[in-house]
Amino acid sequence: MLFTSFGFVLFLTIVVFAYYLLPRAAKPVVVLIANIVFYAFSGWQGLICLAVTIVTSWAAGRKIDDLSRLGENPKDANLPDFDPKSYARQIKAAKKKYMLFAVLLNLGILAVCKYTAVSPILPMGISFYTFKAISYVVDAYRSKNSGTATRSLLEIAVFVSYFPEIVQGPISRFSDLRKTLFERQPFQTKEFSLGLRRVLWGYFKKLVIADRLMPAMLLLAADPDKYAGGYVFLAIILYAVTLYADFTGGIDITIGAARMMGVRVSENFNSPYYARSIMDYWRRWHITMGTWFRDYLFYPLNSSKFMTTVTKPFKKLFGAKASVRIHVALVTLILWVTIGVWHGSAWNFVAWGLANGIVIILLQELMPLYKRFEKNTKFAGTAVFHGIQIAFTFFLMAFINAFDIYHGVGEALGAFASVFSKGGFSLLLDGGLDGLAEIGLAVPDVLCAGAGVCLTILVGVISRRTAAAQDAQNAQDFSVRICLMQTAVLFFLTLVFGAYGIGYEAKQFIYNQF
Amino acid sequence: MNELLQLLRELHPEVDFESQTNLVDEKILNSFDIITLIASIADSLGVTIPPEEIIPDNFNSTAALYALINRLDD
Repeated sequence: MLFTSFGFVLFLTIVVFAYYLLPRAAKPVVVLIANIVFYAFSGWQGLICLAVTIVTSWAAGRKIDDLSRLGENPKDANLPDFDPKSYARQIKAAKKKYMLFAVLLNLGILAVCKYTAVSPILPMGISFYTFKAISYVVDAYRSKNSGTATRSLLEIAVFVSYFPEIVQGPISRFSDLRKTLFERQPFQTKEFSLGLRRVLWGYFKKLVIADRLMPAMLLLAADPDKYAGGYVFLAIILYAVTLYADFTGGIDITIGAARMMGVRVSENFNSPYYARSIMDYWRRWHITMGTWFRDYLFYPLNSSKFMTTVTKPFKKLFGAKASVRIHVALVTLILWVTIGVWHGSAWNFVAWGLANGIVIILLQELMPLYKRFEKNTKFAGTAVFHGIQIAFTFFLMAFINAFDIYHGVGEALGAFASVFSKGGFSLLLDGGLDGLAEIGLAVPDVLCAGAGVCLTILVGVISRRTAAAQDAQNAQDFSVRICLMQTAVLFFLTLVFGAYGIGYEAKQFIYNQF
Repeated sequence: MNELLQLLRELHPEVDFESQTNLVDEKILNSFDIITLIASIADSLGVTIPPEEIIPDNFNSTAALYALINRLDD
């Protein structure tokens, strides 16, 4: 069920009504039923995989919690030969077995379903819900205290299958989401109206910007030989804008839908196109995926015996300092190739991951040089220089994403080269407005999407300025009337300028495929 | 302690690590710095910092990090 379908709007309306009308005790059950119904629309077979993930992570979490309790209150603590350190080690080793069982089993299911032809189906959102389940079990294992995992199967089922975020994230952590997910809040006008406005804002970005530009972007991506040179540049820019509007729009709908029911889902973006370096970009884009890979792959891999063994020979060859740098570079490359493969098994995703990793390592190596420049040059502190950094990061990421747009490494590199070839841009410029109309970018489309982008930038600037003060002020200054008026304006704008209607085919969200 | 301070200064010569108490919260150390630091500590001090100990509280100040290393070394 697409977020942009009328079916989803009807579904969400029914769920919200049921959530508030039914008694407090029934609220988690309402959410679970909603999750199951939402999921079943994508095929009932996927529910089996989802159920296996839920039950195994619940069981492992419960066993780990039992062991944590045992660790806190040892039975033999009063015996004279009791050794607390050795006891703690035993408890940890036992916890590790359950953690590894759940993690390996669920990664195995993900691998089989996503990367092999064995499984007849690809369960919806499997990459996202598997990561949520893994973080749940690993967090319980890592925690020094009991109570990190829930003992309730209902709670873990609601968390893992939570319908607003199952399609494309965010990859919430149990410790964050449980704070509001099981609070069973009564209806609050403020939360509901802020949620509704956020949903509408998501629809606006998806329907007025992303879906207007996506057909042209897909057309250009499908035939890089025909649409070479300037068209490739256009495709890369269109992709940057479309991906942003599509993905952040989808996440807005997720966060808004949850908030309408008083649930606060983690933010997944923080003005990514204002990033001043690629590292900064990845701290702002798809934040929950970045922090997931950091906490459950980057850090453990870095501290692993495997990496120590791999980098040992480098110490003898190049010395201690260089071997540390090689260690860090290798961990970074493995991380980024894995993130690439997580997006898809094709080579273009591996190349995309490698490109990210290599650029990050290079820039990190240049950091001392940059710091010296920053210290000794006044220009480095100016708004103009920051603007240059922002533009450079935007174009760098846009070009790296060429591996995402063109579904082959050779195609992507060929397309990339044609931008810089002689006369590359004349292909696009000679076509003029008619050329643009031919690829699906008629003047009204460009005006609608362009105005949408301007509004998005304006809202971004305003919310950045007011964000800090907003939460503190909201309590007193929040006006339901203004919020609902803004929602009505968004509804009107989406209705008039959105890409839908007879003959329109709703576009799948780009991130659904991952 | 001196060895640790030296490793930190190699990462960020411009930071006064003896007085800073919000290294992670103020984003002076990012995840890249942290893994470099952990690899350096493993190499020169022989102490492996496991992922569950990579929390802001353990990295916010040199004193906290030093205490962590001592605890793990025990």
